Amino acid sequence: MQIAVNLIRDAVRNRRLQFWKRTQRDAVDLDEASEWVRDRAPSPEDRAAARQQVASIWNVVARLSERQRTVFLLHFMEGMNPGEIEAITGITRAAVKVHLFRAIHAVRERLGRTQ
Amino acid sequence: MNPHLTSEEISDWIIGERTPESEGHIAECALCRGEVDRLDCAFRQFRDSARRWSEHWYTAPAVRRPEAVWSWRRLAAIGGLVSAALAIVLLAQPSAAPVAEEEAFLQIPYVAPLAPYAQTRVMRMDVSMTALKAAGFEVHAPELSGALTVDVLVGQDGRAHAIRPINRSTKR
Repeated sequence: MQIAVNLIRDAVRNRRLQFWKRTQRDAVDLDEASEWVRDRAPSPEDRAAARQQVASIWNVVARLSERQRTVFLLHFMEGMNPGEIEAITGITRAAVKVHLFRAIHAVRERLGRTQ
Repeated sequence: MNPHLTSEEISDWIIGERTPESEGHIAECALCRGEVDRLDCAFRQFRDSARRWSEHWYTAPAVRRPEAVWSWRRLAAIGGLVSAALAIVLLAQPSAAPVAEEEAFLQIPYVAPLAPYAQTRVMRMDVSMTALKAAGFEVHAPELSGALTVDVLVGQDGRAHAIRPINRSTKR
C-alpha cells in the first residue's frame, strides 16, 4: 500500500506517469495497442513483424505480476532507471533489477532467443 | 568461462547498466551485439507504439459508457472512497442529471494505477467532500458537508481508480 501511495503522490507531482493517466478512459485492446507501431519498416512484412514483436511484449506484460508490471512500465515506458524506480515505488534497487531481469527474460523467451 | 554475455548481463545492458567488460564483449561479439540490438529495437518499438497509442486515447473524445446499476456490494468494494458518509448522502439526495461536458479523469491518489489492458466501467454517483478528502484528494471548499457528482472509473478488481467531476457545485 505504501508503494502505491508513494507511486501516485510522486508521479502526479512530476507528471512522469502520463502513460497510465492516459489509459484510464476506457478498456484497452491488446491487439489494438500493438497496431500503433510507426511505419518506418521498409516492407509490409517488416511492419507486420514489428507489430508482432510489440504484441508479444504486451502479452508478456499482461502476464507479469502487478509489481513486475509496474516496474517494467516505469522503466520501458517512462524511461526511469532502477534508482528512480526505487525512489518512487519504495521497491529496493536490487528488487527492481530482479523484476526487470525476469520481465526481460520472459520477453526474450517470447521473442525467441538468438543466443 | 561463458564465451557470451549471460542473461543477467544482457538484462543489465538493456536497462542501461553497462560495465566496461560487457561493452568490450559487445564490441567484439557479433552474436551478443545482435541480441542486444534486437531487444533494444523491440523495446523501442514497444515504447514508441504504446506512447502513440496512449496519445491517441488521451486526445480522443471520451466515450460515454452505459450507466451501471447501483449495487451496495459494489460500493462496499470501492472501499475508502465510498464511505458511510457517502451512503448517507446518497440516501438523502438523488443523483444529479448528467451534464454534456466531460472532464478528464483524476487518479485517486491512494490506488495503484490501472494496467493498460484493464477492463473498466464508469459509475456515476454522489461523493461526499469528506470521502474525497479521505481518498487523498485536496478539497478546497468552505465546508466539507457537501457532495460532488462524479463519474467513478471502476477497474475489473472492483476498486475505484479515478474520478471525473460532473458538477463542481456543492450539494447540501
